[in-house]
Amino acid sequence: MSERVLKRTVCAAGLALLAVVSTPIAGARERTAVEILEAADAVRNPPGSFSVKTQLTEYRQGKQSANSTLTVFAKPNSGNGQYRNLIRFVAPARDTGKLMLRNGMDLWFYDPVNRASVRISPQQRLLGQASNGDVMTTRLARDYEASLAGRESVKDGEGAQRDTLRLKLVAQREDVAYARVDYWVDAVNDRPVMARYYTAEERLLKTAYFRKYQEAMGTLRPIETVIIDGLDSSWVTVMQTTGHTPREIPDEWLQRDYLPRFAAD
Amino acid sequence: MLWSSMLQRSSLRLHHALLLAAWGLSSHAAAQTAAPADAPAFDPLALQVQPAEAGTRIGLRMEAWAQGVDLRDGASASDDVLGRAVLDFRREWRLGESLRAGFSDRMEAVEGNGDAADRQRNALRELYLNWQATPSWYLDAGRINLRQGVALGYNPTDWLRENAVVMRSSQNPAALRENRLGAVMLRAQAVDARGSAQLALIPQLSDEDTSGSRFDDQFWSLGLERTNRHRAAFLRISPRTGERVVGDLTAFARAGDAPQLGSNLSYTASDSLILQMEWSGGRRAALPAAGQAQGGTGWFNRLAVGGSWTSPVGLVLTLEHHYAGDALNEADWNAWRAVQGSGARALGELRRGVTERQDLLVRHYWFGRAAWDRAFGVEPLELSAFVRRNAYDHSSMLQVEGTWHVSDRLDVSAMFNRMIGSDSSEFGASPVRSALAVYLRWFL
Repeated sequence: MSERVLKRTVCAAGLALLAVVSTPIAGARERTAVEILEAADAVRNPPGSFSVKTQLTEYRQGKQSANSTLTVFAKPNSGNGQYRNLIRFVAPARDTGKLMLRNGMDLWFYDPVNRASVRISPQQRLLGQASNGDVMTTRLARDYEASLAGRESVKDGEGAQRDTLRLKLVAQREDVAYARVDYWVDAVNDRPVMARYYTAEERLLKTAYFRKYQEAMGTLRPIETVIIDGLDSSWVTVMQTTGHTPREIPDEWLQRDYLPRFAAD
Repeated sequence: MLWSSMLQRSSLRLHHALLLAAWGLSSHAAAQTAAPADAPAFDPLALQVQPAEAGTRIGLRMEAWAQGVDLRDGASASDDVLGRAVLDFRREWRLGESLRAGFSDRMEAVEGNGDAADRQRNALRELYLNWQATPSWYLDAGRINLRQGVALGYNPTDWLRENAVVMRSSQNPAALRENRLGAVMLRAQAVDARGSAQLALIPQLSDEDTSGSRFDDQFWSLGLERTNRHRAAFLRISPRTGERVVGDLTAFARAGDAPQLGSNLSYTASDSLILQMEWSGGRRAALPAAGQAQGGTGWFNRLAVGGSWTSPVGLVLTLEHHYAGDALNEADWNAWRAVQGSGARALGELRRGVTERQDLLVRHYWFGRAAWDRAFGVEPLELSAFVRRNAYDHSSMLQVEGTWHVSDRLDVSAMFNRMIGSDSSEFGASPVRSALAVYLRWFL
């Protein structure tokens, strides 16, 4: 075998090996930031309509300062895929039976004491430090434009080091709670790890850790979110979700004029 | 006199205490942002939350009030120290798969340091059965508080507000809506994904003479002459619209009166601004000018228009303009202000009727409200204030209220009212110049 033939054979073998090695990489193309965000949304949100019990416990300097319990009923909107939410206040006693209904920019607050439905703005807070968006079920991929900002190793809410993808989210709608979000998603299983929420002026509003993953409606989901204020790190709200239950939510439940009749637990 | 001076001293102390409390709270809020240098590092992620206890609630609210009143010079004999006790119950029960029953009642007793203000009244606000005939059709029968309107300070489409309030412990429009009697009615409602339509038929159940806005306010009186003095029908259609604009159309017909039309519109202008408009129109009698027994009849419009803005710190500010074409114009109001003798009594009757109907006395008013939950960043503190201003004589009614949530089941509140204006103005002429109340609320 001449030297030239030998060189050709080696080159051909090298190219073939390169082709074999590179073929799986080309087949499993890089996922887009939107796809990663959608996968993370699917971890946080069960599929279809469901209800979940949410407990909000607020702390100042480590001392509990407020506590409330809610039941959230969520149903995907057949039009844009975003969730419509109905929240029933369970505790404290002074708030029992109050309701909050949200369909995008359309928010209503109902007080059974005076049978009044009052329209409120998306910025109006009824839940303390937690924003409406923190408590209600939302698909971030519907409201934010996502881009991949890099791969980082971060400490999660339980102290473990995690390999994550950092997504940069920019709001596409004005009714969302935060203008911009940095969102860390586990690089292995798409589980949300933490998020930082900013104003349009790039001021840090709060940091959230998604933790205590447990089985809920078919997969592991974070049942606890620790929300830390951006200015005062001793101001903390812990949001716990339990009792995820798939349920039929009729469209009439999500009407303002149905609120005085709402009686589901 | 002794009570009065004690009260004045107590009011002064309370005033000082409130100022100190407000100063203390703001200091407390400021201190919360700066932890001591030698404090151990706080780790938010080390917090372990205990599950909240599932407390039961029977639907009972108890209130205990102490109230001091500053009377206008020359006001007719009245008490200037009042105590008030309230038992307020509200609950619904499920009687079957598609049947529910509701009961709502308020028992209130007022005792003064004299006899003038002593009053006890039970108000059976609601008692009804609700039947879900199909997944989207409902029938209700009984006494029901059917409340309408998107505006905060004046609701021209809230047809059933007239004469429905029996006790006024607060002038806050929200409290007046809370304390009023429902009307006995048969109501059908269809509600589905397209929106809602409802029709209510209200029978005449009383033939009491209610001229001069005089009602039977005995302790156990049902007050049917207030709510069911005439046959009436109410229709409301509220189609589901987009996210930003929400509206409805309503109509109301009452035996002996011309039909009235109305509409509510609200618009989410931005993520922090809501604009709203509430209109009604129809033929009706205007308020009489001074010296007349009756005003002219014609088509008159009523309007409440304004908006609410949520500030970045959570303070919600509302400004509304209120208009009623059937109310007194500026010239007629000035003529009424100048009357003496029997004319003054007629004015008193006129004002009382307007108050009972929750109508406007003059054509133009301004209404402003500020509400701040977790004021100054202090979780248990809730502050609110509103002012209603007569646009002609510039008199005003002001109310400021602060509530401290002591626990999940107990609130402590202080409320201050002030009528501002000359003696001949609408609000300045009130026999009560100012009032200060402190009250406790238990939620059971």
